[in-house]
Amino acid sequence: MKKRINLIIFFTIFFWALVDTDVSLIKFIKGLTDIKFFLIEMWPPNFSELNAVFPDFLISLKMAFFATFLGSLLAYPIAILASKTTTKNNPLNYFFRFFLNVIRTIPDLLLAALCVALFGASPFAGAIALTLFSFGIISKLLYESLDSMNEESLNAITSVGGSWISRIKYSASPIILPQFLSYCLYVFEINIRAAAIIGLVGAGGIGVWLNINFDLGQYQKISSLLLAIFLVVTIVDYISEKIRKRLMKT
Amino acid sequence: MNKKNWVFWIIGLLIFFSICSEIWPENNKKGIEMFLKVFSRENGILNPEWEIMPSVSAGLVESFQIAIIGTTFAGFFALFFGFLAAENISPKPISVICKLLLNGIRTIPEILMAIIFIVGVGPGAFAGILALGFHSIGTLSKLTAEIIESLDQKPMESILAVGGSQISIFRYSAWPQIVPEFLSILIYRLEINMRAASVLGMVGAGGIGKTLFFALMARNWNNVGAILLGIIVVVTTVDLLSAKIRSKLV
Repeated sequence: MKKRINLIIFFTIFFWALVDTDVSLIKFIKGLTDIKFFLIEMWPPNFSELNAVFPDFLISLKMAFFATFLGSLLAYPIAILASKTTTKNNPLNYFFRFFLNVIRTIPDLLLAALCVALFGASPFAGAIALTLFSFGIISKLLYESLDSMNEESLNAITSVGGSWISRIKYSASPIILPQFLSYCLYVFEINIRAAAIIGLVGAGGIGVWLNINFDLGQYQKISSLLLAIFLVVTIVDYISEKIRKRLMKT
Repeated sequence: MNKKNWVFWIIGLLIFFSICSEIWPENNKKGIEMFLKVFSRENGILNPEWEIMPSVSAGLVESFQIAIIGTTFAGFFALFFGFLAAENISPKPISVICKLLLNGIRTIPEILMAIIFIVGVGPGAFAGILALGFHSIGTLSKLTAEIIESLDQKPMESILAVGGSQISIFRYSAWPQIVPEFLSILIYRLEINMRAASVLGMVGAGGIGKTLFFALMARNWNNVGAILLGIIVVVTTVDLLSAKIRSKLV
């Protein structure tokens, strides 16, 4: 009975949404021909300008690296302060958790758009946006794994008279380090994808060229860019996954 | 921390600083001025304009509708493709092809999908729904396939042992195992799509993103503050509800 009520509630919301937004199958089928033409125009990919945009490719990679590096450096101390096992101070824990949750609700593209408005359309804006984004994710993942950590080794340090700093330095850090690095790599993967896209809102990197070519109607160049991005993302994913697996084993 | 780790850290730091020197903006003064303006007391982002709340809430409602319709549509298709991609149910070649296709779909970011669908159905919420729907089919189907592959065989065997048909094996053993996990990933996807739906408007695919885009263009920080506040509140609410429902499901 309760299940049925839930279903009814869900479908009321669903159909209300369907009616409110202009969803229609006819429109979709009609639109398919336009999309087909669009996709045909993208073929074959035009690789002639790929040399010229190569520096921006590098900038995307650099933004991703910058963001992961700075974001993880900032995340480490904050995660230690936000976790209950390393910092026994409830108000402080909750303050940082609340702060991190607020940061994490803002999507990466939105952060990028905000930073572009703040710092101007430049790779710097993109790098800062991704840094905030990475900081949010890594801190969250890290404090959760700190929370689920075995507290006995921490207590052992306290029982021999170790200070708070030595608890973290000699017990928490060595245990958490492989996980921390694995999270950094994971966020690096996300950042690579994001860094390729945030150029669409002006935050530098290869996405800027996507935007320019969309405006110019150079669809064959777009498909070549997309293929190149796809290749880079796949390679980075592959390498990062390999390293993460090795990290988790040790 | 051993010697090898230190070497990695120093290499990382060197790369980081070289990137810093490259992307660091030259006209710092202007940036600081801008920063002070954005965070100023009266015209700043921290002083949200309450008068535009009606249009903000309308945009947020549209974003929510986009997210929920996109996720539901994707869910229907994912159930179908999930079975096709599951190694233990469908024949090997079909499963391999399906998985490759789904991976391909997954690598195209939502925002690019949105641009493609805008070409087809014009700007508006419908393009956003299609973009989120198609992107989510990729991830959801993959996760569904994984659920089906990890089904517990024992209940199926026991139904077979008492003489149940293939249909009753599916109805009374596989299906009850699949449903809660499937709903759980669906609701989790809704969280992600809610975030995405709040950004898609920036390229014209409906929702709050459009309002935000105009506010950012006009550099009206009070309005930006109000919109950000709205997004943070709605995304947090969806996150909390989703966590609650998911903890009941599994």
